Amino acid sequence: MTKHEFTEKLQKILQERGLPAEEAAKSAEFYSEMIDDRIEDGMTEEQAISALGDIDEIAEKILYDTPLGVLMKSKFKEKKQAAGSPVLLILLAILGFPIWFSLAIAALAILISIYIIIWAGILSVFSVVAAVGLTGVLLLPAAVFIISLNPIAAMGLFSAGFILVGLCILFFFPAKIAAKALVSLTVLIGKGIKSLFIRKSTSKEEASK
Amino acid sequence: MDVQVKRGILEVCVLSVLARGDSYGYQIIKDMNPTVPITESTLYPILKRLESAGALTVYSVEHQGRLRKFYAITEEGKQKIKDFIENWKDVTTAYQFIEEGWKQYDKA
Repeated sequence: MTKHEFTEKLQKILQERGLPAEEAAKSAEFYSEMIDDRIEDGMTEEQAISALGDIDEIAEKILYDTPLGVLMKSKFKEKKQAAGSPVLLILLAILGFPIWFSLAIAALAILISIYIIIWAGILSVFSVVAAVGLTGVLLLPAAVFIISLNPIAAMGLFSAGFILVGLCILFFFPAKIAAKALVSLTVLIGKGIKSLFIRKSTSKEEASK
Repeated sequence: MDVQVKRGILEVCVLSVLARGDSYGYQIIKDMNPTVPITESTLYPILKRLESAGALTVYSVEHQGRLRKFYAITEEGKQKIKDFIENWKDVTTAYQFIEEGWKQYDKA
């Protein structure tokens, strides 16, 4: 290994492990001076380099002494650079507007339709129960109305009316429970969507730490 | 010996070399070697730490067509040596205390 190879390798290792480029260059400079001094002292280049010891161990010792904050900071910077400049991101958002805006609208429309379906379900259950009850109630005066004309038919209407009213009362409670379940389903969907966003933003916060 | 203690001692050793006069990396190692052997990989982090602590300053001098970094001790660095010598009295007292206790245990 030549001096140049050694310092290049050391810089590469240090930067890969998270040391800022400036610090890595400084370290390489120090070791380059050490090699030169040893050569001046009468060693060959090869001897001077092997006298320094294992390159990984050297890197380890430098990293061990670097505050964790510095290492993390440079790692985070790297990530940021990989994500692109904010200007580029804004530009991308503007150029992508036709795509992401229509996708957002579609998602919103799907969400709204899911809500409508749920509420339509609740409405239909209740209207069925109400229709049964109303029919039963209306059958009772109708029976009174025809009792003088056709008592047997009137009796039939009476009993039908009572059966329907009874059914209405009987089904009101299950309908109420079903409606409650549907409402809680909408709440659940709402919560699910909310947590989707919160999780995203908290993971971003963690990254910035 | 405990790594932290050893590092602290080595820091003061390096400062004491610089107290005799400004020096550069390889010379520091050569000066220390007969009594306190130290390697480059140990010295470099120490110099870095002392520099950021303000115990020494760095300047470059041209030497045979290249730059050589010289290290000079500051007032803070000198104070560090003083503190070390002062504190070491407590350490030796503690050492005697430990030794006495061990002697009694060893006899029993």
